[in-house]
Amino acid sequence: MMPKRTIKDHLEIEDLLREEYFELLPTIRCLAIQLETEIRSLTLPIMHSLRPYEKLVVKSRVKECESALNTLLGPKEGRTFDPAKAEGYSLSQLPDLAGVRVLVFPNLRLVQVDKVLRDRFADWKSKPIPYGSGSAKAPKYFGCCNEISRDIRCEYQVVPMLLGLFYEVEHSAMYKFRPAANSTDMLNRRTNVEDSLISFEEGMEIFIRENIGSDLEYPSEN
Amino acid sequence: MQVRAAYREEKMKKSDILSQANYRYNFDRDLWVNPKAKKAFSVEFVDDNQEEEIVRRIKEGTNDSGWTFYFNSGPSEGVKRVLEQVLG
Repeated sequence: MMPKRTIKDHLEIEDLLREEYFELLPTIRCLAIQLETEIRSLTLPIMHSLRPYEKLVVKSRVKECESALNTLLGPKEGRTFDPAKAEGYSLSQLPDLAGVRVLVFPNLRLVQVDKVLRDRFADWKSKPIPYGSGSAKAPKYFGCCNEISRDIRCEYQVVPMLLGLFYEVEHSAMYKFRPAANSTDMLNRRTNVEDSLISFEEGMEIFIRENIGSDLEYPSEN
Repeated sequence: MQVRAAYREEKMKKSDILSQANYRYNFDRDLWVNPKAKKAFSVEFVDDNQEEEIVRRIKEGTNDSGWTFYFNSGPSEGVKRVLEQVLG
């Protein structure tokens, strides 16, 4: 057992948090594998019934150390941990150290995937992600995989594939880059992209309904 | 569109003003920093204030030999100490 150190300056706060991260890392990895495996298993029947133009991709990720520190820091001017509050900082407060993103196209399948997963993760807390200028929301949930840990929370989200792929670029360009994240102009442009992606998906759904038929092959309930 | 263009122009002016006054953007702390003048502006402060105010703050003299931080809500003494250490 490592002796508890006294926190003398900010570098020690950050170092202690990095130390905590690497102590938690094996558990976080297990959680990511557990969650990804369960979600793959639950969505397998849907995967097998996809039409050629439909897509379903399951991706897990372990939050990186510096990203975890930045998230814990939050949107605070000067981006600096306060030595006076050193005892209050812990990475276990974060809700998304391990996460799974399910990318689905089109939205009809998204609803289906969300329902299947909701049945399994019924006690997880819902916090949908709003996007676009309308009322669109992508499902996102937080909770614990109690088989692995009752303390570290995980998240999973079911995201329209077009939006999810856009986020892979947008997150480093805007979400994690404060001047861009604060820019009204960039926020407007992001909303415009999201609206265009929604429009494409809606157009595709209408086309399918009118030309092919919307009766999905649902997996057996039994 | 005009509002957006005006906003872009305003942002450009603010970053130009700071760059020309030898402030550099610190990506780790999201601050505009001038080590020689020992002054730092938070991104939030720059966003929320008019360019005239930024110019006035750049020009204003400081009394002590320590750093001056222009934040919307002033940093705690602990955070100031940390930033002074980091910024040199």
